[in-house]
Amino acid sequence: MVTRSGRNILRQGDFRARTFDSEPFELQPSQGHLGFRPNPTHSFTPDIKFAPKIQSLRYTYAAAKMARLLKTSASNFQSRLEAEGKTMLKVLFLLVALGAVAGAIGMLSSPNPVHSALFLVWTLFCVAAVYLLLGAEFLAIVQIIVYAGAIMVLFLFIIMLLNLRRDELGDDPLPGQWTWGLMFSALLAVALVSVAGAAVTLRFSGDPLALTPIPEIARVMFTKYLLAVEIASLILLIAMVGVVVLAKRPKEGA
Amino acid sequence: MTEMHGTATWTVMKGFVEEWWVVILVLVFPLAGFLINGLWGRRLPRPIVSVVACGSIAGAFLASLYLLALNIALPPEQRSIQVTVYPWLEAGPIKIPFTLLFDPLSVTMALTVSGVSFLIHVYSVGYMAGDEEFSRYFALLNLFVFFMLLLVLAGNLATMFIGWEGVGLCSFQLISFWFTRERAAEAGRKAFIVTRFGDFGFLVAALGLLAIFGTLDFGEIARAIHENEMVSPWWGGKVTALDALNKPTAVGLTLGTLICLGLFMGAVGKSAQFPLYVWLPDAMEGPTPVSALIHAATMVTAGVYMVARLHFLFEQAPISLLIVAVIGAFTAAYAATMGCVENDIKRVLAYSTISQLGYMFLACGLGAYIAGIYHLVTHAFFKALLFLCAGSVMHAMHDVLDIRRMGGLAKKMPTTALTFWIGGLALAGLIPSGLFSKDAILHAAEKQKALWALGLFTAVLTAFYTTRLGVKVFHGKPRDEHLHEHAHESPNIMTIPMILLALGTIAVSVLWMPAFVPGKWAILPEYLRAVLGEVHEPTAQEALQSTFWAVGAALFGLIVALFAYALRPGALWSLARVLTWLYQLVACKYFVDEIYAVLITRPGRRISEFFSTHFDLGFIDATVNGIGWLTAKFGSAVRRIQTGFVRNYALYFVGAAVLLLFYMLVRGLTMAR
Amino acid sequence: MEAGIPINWVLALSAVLFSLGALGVLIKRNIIVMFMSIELMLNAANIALVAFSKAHNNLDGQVIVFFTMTLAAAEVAIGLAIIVALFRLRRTVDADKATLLRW
Repeated sequence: MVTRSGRNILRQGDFRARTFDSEPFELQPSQGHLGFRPNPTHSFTPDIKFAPKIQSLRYTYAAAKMARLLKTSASNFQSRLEAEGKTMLKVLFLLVALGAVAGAIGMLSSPNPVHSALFLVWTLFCVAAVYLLLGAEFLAIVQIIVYAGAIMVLFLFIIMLLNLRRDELGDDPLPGQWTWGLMFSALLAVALVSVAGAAVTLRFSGDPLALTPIPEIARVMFTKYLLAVEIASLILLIAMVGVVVLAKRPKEGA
Repeated sequence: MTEMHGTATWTVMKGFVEEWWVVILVLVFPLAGFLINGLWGRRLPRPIVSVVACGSIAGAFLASLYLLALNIALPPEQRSIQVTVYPWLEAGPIKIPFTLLFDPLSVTMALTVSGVSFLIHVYSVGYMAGDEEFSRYFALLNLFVFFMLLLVLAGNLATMFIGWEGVGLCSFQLISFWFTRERAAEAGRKAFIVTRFGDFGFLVAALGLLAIFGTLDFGEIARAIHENEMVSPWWGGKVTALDALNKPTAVGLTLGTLICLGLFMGAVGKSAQFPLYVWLPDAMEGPTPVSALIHAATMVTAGVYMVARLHFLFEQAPISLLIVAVIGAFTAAYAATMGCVENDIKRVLAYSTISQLGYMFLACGLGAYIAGIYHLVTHAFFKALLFLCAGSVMHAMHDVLDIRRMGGLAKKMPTTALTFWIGGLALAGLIPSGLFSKDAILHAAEKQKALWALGLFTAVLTAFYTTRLGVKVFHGKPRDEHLHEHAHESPNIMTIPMILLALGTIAVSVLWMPAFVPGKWAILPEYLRAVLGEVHEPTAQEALQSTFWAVGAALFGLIVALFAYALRPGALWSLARVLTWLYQLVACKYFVDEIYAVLITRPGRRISEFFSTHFDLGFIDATVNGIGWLTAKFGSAVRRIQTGFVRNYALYFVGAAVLLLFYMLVRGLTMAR
Repeated sequence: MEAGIPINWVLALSAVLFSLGALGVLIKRNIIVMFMSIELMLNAANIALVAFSKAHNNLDGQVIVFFTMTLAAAEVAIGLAIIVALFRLRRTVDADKATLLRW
């Protein structure tokens, strides 16, 4: 048998095979598996186990070759997967971020309020994608349901209720507002981004592709933040009552 | 020289009275009257106000009698009692408490003041019956009596000064009682400011005494001087008291002389001597009982009392005593001349008061303090009486003051006329007690011929103008028929005090009558001997001689006046027309008021106006107003932040947040380095 | 480098979105669009919270975001009710027309 490198590894009387891997392995009939230990941090690394019994050398050789191939390709795949996964995450994130920012800019620049709302919906979807990329899938779904699905709908309701058309608001009474606003916002962005870029020395730990198990969130929420849950429900109740009161039409003749 | 009187402490009195507050009742009564009438007088009915006012003075008089009894009961050497009412000022070694001194002199004065005050209060009830501000008048009068009693009963110069200023204040208030009249308001101001001149001297002298002796207490200063103790004056070191007083100063006079002159300056202001007398004639703008009480009997005598009280100090500076005597004599003559040509009843009496006060100062200056005090007492009685008669006349003549419109009132107002003559003759020195007191003063002056001559001249003029006044007002033909018809006698409430004062004038002569007890002369000199020193009893020959001269001078004046006004009316007028310049000079009061106006009043007013406009208005007001203006301008500039636009407010938020962020960034960066 | 996305990028995204939201609040005159910009700012904050939650490997951040969303919902409801009431009064949604509280 000739390996890729052209070396004849099978010699008469020599049951030891050599691969490029650093660790040689020995075929020992008593051992149940090849001395191949998978990486414990990678949860889905294929754990290659072979049948404990090797009947004949022939099969052994074939099995050894196959095992070698698999191992190489597995590790190759793993590392390639990891490498590409990391890059993939970054690329994906950049795309999503770009989308979010584009949506925000679109929201700001659109004269039609309905278009602004729709741009915001797009932005919220992108934010949900960011949550996903950060491993918070529960939040991502909640974001879509609550924000994009309820809040923005409410916005659109109101816009259409008030029958707002394009911005026909006449002359701007505050001409300096644009300059100052742009300047301050730019400064704000600069400040925050520089903080984000320079001052934060944290690094993500753990599996970048790990997802958050929902039971964990539930556990934290209902033990540590139980009071907050109750208060949140109260707030929602108050909000409901408040909305009804505020939106009432004044009684005739009152 | 007086023997040093021992100052017993309060424990001596303990045997006679259980509570110490009994002795200050004499002060409490008038003060209570002032408070009641002052605070609630308007709401109380008039009878109550009158009773409160007169009752409080009656209470003060009874308390004074009680004090007299207590005082007499003590042996003569221990009659000087000091009561510390309140430890007022204490600053390190300097202690100026609020003390009262009860010794023969102060008790005498207290009796005089409260007695005459009481009668004048009763008179005022009738005199001021038609006036609106009844209760305010009595409140002020009571307050005045309180301050006057405080003055005479004071145990140290500070307490006396409180009384001094207090009577000045009440005098001012009462002179300008009808302050809606411009002349009354002006007269009040003039009185206050002119006496203030004098008070300045008083205060500086008091401070000098404090700086030398470290205390203002009469007893302590007297002891320091008599026993020549060591004192630590302000210029450091320890010297004997007399050396301290005799220290020469830059102006050539000793320190003691300067202090005495300062004190005398206060007396000149308060007792209306030359040159600070100008306020007293104008003070006649006030109600007549006020003139009677304040400007005849009590306040103006404060100066004499002060000189008598501090006589031990004045004796250390003989020059000051000389000046006192000279100014006293000169003023007496000077004022008497002006009294002869006045046509206003009250002004004649005012000049007469100035003149008699000059007599008192003459006596004190010559060392005859007891004679001066006695003249003070008698003068209180008859001058108050004369003023009350004038008030009665004014009441009858509907407030006419000009004697040229009066005449023949004796038939209409017999009581007034009789009491007037009693007082007038006492003033002239022709009936006791005026005779005794004036005679005593002239007797004391016999050694100094110049002063004696002035005194006699004044006596002549005194008799002259008194008679002139009496004849022109009460006798002869009425010059204004209409007024004469409506004249009537005053009600009893006014005439009874006058009668009592007339009786009192005569009764007071008892104090000077020889007691015909060997070794003791008369009551008053004996009583006051412990405080004011020995008065040597005149021998019969000396007494006769001085009386001859005094009475003779007075009679001369009387006869001349009778001749000129009763028998040959108009005779003097022809004389005046001949000596026009002299008459004009005197009638215009020697133009003193005009001189003062030019030299002092107008420049002073101009300076005040300058400071008022440029400094007070221009600088201080401008600064205060400027701060207000600045605040307003600042506010109106800053309020433009509130534009009302929500977007602007959001801009402020974001801007502030950005600034804060950048600040923290920079700090973080610099700190990280 | 085990992590996939550098946290700085996420925070930078949050910063940019926040600034854009602030810009919207400052510039836009339509109250409703202003309100939407505020929502954008809230979302930017949420992104930052989630990023930090992952960095500290702690679920607290995500729980906070959950509550924030709740509150944002309530707030939007009330805010829009107010806008409706205001519209009924003023017939306009121009923010520059509400200037009664001025000097």
